[in-house]
Amino acid sequence: MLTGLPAALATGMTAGVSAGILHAGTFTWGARASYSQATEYTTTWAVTHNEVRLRAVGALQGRLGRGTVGLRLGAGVTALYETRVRAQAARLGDAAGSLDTSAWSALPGGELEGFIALPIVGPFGLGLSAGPSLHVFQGAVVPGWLAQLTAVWWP
Amino acid sequence: MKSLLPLLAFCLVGCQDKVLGLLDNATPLVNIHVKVTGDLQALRPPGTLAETPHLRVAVVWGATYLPDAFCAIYQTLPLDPSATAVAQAGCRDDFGFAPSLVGESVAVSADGTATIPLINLPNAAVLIGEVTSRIGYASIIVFDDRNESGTLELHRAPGTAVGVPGGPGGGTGPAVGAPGDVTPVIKGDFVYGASFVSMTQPDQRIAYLEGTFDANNALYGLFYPRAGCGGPPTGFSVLSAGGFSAVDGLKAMATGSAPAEDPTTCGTATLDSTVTIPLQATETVRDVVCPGGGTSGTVRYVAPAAQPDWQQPWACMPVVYSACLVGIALPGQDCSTFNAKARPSLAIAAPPGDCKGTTHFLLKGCATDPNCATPQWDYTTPAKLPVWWPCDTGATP
Repeated sequence: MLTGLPAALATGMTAGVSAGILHAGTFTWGARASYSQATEYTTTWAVTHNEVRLRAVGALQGRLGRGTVGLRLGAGVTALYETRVRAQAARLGDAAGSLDTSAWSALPGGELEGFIALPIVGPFGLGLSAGPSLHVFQGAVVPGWLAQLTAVWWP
Repeated sequence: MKSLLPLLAFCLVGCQDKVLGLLDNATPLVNIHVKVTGDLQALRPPGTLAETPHLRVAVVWGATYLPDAFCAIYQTLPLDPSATAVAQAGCRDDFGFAPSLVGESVAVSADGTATIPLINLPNAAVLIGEVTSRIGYASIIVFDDRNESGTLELHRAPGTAVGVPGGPGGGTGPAVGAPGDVTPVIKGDFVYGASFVSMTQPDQRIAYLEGTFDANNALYGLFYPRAGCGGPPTGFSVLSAGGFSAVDGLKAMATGSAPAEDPTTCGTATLDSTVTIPLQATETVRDVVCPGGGTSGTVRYVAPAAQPDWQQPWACMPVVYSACLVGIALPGQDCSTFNAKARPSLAIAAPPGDCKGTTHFLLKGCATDPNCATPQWDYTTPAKLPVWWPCDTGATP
């Protein structure tokens, strides 16, 4: 599960699911992907952002007791699908459809997350990660944050 | 990783053009085209000629307004000279447009044209009907935005008690300073024209209909009716009608119907057409920014706790204004039993101001019902009867 600040909305919280792989080793690498959604409102629009975050990650990790702790740096692209629905426009009937808009975009972005993973049953366990994020949207750097709760499998 | 670098570089410059986020760049739902005609300078009241006029037009959605029967009858028919004097001084045009909600407003350009972008749909409070079929009407109002607020402020009638001012602005207001100084005390907006002033005049009104028009809907027949003109199309439109006489309106009101319009004066147009508004003296059109009556639009009765301003026209009146007063017996009604001579109510006009107003004092009753079972006040006992009470003191008929 993933939650965080939307990549291109000034407020609200995006929530969704994520998955990833990470090689073993102290200095290692992997990949992650996530899908999340957030809906916020202006006085005239209901704006929904669907975000697909694709990340290449590098990590520094080590054992701590039975668990694993580390720092993970991810960088990549956030594919963004935006739908904007005009408030109350459904009242206009057939004419309302032409008022709504949708658009694709792709934003460069990345996160720096601290993480901890703990085996619970055999090779299966839980992982928790959180940290700051950055996106570049309309020429400006947009800071944010991200937190994930994951099921972990050590093959 | 190498394959991602060109994509990253591309996205920094080219992938983000269409996403708008929370940018509130609402495109207009429709545009209303307005043409204002006439010479404003010749119509400006004394005391304001030194000001720079800021002429604007605003969309104002109409209220559900139930006319005060006293006003409707005595404003129209010469039945009682004292009552007619009260009605003329204290009653707005009972068939006039009553405002409820001020919408978008724009400045009028030097050539008298303006285009009003409607960003929002009118809210449900100004629509009549049900969710599947409801309608609202708006008047385009021309005003001098004297306080430069960028919008039109509705006015209100003064209270009948001495020293309760109306406002804001409009009209010349009480004089201040040197004798002859007629500078308005409160700097409110002056109205100089409206596309929909009254149902007794030719009008052009903005209509907004959700669903389909139901000609059999009784509510539609009472809400700024255009009997005989047909219904508007779904969505926004510009409707026109020639108007009906106040006498016809009064007779129709007594029977719960609407007077028919001359079909040759009826019109239905899209918003591509231009709404033309001639400028007129503010005193002749001021009612369109005066909300009608109380919150319910009905007559509100007042206890005679304080003495009114006797400088204003007043008259002792019946409590119930039956259709019998205008010679109309409704089905099942026997006008021979109607006692028109009992006059236990005091009707008095509000002091002159931006908006007209009439107050009905009653010795015993409730704010909205003179014959309520449990009176909110009772001044009929000798101990409580005001010494200044000029009307009948008997039980209300």
